[in-house]
Amino acid sequence: MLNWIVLVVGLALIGLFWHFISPEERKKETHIVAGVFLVLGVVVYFLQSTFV
Amino acid sequence: MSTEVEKKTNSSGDDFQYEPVPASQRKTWYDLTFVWFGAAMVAQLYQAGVSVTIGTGGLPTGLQSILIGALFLAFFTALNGFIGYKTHCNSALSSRYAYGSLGVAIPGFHIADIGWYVVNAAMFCSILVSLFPAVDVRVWCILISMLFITNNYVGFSKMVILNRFAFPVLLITGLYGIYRCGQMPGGFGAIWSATYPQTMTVNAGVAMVIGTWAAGCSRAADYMRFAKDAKSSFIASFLGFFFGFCLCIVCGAIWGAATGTSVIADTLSMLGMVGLGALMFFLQNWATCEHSSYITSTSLPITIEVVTKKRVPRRFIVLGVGLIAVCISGLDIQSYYVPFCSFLGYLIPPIAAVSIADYFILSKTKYHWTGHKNYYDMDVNSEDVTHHKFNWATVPALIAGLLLGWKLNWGISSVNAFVGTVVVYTVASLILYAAGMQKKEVARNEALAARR
Repeated sequence: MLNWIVLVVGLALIGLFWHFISPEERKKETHIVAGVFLVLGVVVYFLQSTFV
Repeated sequence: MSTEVEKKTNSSGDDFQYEPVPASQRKTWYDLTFVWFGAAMVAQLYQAGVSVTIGTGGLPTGLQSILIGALFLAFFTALNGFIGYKTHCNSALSSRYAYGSLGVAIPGFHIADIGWYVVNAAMFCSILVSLFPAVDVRVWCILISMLFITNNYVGFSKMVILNRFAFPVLLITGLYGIYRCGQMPGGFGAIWSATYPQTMTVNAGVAMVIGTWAAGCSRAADYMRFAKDAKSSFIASFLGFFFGFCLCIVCGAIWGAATGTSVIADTLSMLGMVGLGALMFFLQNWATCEHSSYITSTSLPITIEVVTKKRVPRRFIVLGVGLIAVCISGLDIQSYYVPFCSFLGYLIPPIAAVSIADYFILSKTKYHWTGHKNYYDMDVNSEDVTHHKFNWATVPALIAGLLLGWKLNWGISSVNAFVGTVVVYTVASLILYAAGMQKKEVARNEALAARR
């Protein structure tokens, strides 16, 4: 459970960090990319912890 | 480590990606030496020093491998850097002279640094796990893979501050580690005479040492394009690189000889400096990963443009690097560090050796594939250069160099690959000259001159 919490909170915090430092004209793109990383990170960890 | 020169220009949004560096932006040998000195110092060299010492059986053989490897790399850097000085173009762009405007897709396909990014991220995570064992290493790998593209993807120009902190922390950690080694039972005498089961020959150790920086050295033109004169380029490449590189890798070699383990996390733990080591690896690996993704993002678009005729924004390449790292860095990638370095040790030298042979040998003769005299004095973006599409002599040279480095069981694989490429490229150029390839290129030159 700790691993899942650290993963999701960590990815969300990095996304938040990106939100604050990204230029105004690329905020929307940054949000989408951060979202993709969040989903991908969860999927990759699920697959790796289940099958590897 | 990313450099001041690169960052200053990059952060201003103008890093002369597609053009020569203007005279007003060029630097003296003094500035460039320190730039290379800092660039050559990366945390992975500690890991390499540890691995080569344990693998070759002890400190004397480890240092022997390091010295030979470092001399080769410094020489290789100086030659590559000189081409950068001569053309004032980055590595990918200056390859256009030797490979042609289509052939430049080959050196532009620089994916080695994606591997570096993944290995660096995974190696740092193996240290994080020793600090926070309750969290799975795969979680750390996913988080760190995303974090380390921050600068190049989002564009956080203040990241240059990270490099300023990373450099002194690296130096202090290396020297403190040696001090800790000296305090171990038996002191430095015991470290010098300690032996370990040999898992690689000295030649294999040299190849591994060369592999640690072969990719970086082949990109020396990226830095030396800022050189004011030839002396600045040679002195900065050779001295800056040699001493910066040796300082880190020798520290690692001594750490390895003192602790007897090639796992860097265990080495730091046995020396009682996990916290300091983790801080160093954090700052350093971030800076190095940032550099790796930057290099990839400046090279790959050139290949993509040649193949698809479309220009891809640099940040999307960086994004791709991060996504790949998220997917695979948790798969115990760091255990492939030694074979990965060895692989790069014979993969990268041939790619740069073609440009070196083209500039230092063939462009000085009448056998140059384009038929031009003083070809390297021409503007890289002029039609005189871009209308030469593909140099076929590069194909057998690259294949031969790769095979010689990979399959020849004699000598040092990186040197075999380098020398083999130079020889085969020169011979292939002469054969193609005799077969009339140059005449076709000269006809193009004449047609262009007639049009003007």
